[in-house]
Amino acid sequence: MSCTRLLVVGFVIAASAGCATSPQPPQTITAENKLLHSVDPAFGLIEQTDWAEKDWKKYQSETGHKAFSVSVLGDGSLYAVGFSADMKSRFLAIMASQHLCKYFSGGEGICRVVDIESNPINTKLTPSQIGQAPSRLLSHQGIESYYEYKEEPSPKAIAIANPSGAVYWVAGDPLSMTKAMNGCQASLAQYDVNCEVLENED
Amino acid sequence: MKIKHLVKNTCQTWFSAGVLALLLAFSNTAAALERNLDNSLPMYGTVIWTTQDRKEISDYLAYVDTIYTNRQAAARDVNADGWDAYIDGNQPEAMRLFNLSWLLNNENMDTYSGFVRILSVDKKYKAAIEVGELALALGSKDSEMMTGLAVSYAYYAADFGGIGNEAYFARAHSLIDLAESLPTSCDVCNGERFFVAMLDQDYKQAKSIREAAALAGNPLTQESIEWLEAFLY
Repeated sequence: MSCTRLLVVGFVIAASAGCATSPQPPQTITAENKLLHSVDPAFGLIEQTDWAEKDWKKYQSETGHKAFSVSVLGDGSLYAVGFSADMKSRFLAIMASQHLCKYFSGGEGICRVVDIESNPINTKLTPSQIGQAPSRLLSHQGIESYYEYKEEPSPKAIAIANPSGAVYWVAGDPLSMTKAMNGCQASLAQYDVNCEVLENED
Repeated sequence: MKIKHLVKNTCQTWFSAGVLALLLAFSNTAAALERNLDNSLPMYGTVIWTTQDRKEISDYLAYVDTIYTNRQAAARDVNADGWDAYIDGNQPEAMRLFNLSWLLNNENMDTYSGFVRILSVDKKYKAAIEVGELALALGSKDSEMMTGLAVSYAYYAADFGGIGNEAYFARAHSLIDLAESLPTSCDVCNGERFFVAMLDQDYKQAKSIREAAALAGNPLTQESIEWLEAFLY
């Protein structure tokens, strides 16, 4: 019997357009973000902007290494936001949120990170499992999915979306590789560029 | 064990004298890696590596591992050579070296400072701002990077006549404030603050900065003073 797993999203995304006024910082200011928030009035605009606040709330409910970026126009209004969560490092969270902000802003405004958090994650993965997983897997969810795949019998294949690191695997099917690639392509997020086979066992 | 450690340290000192850059310039691994990559852009301008890129990056890192005990040290030395190339006016070579360094250690903030400086000098202000903002988020505490970022913001805003770009000028000022608030001294802060005020066409503020600098015994350059006077009189 064949088994497939849907694309596990590497980045968590949000984007929209609009404008805002009256800077006022939201309530949650962690020590890690004190400097970012204290020098950046753009952070205060999030709560004043409906679509951005919605994404901010979603971001706040996420765990792991995460970052929130906003694209700011010359007049100080927000144009787009992008955020990442559940990433396996702080560095990746920052890179991903900036990448997504840039993608969704379509070059309008300038993206900057206004919040970075590193929270405990709800995962069964051990640090050694995380360290030993292929480096291209960026999120804990992606790594968990990879280890689920590893436990399946051959034939099997796992495909990965670039650059989000989202994965899609198929096992117990002679056409696993084709199906994994097709599944990955079909589930590709709009900000992803392509899919590649991460591993394949005929 | 002690002898081995000593030998490695000696090797590192020897290589830090610029020999690593020479090796990178002529090594097959660095050449192969760079064949398909765009070295005019920071971080090669991509978030997508091809399978071939990944293989060549891995070969390059393995090659550097044969020379250095750790990649952080190698990145520091490559950066030193990158700055030398920049000072010699060879910006393409500097960018190439900072890119190689970034592959070795993508959390070395000096590398991002190099990117910001080169992009800013090349008048690629938006690209400089994007890299500078990334560096800030990653934790850079480099006051020169911050002031470079501030000036890039001001140039970028001024490119559009400055109208409707008040937020970018404000960001430029706050970045200089941030650079000044750091424990390390910021020798360039005054001059860059003056520069931002001039680009913002705030000649009153520029004049105050000039006067304060003169009172503090650290006057602005004659060139800056003449620039201001051209607008004031």
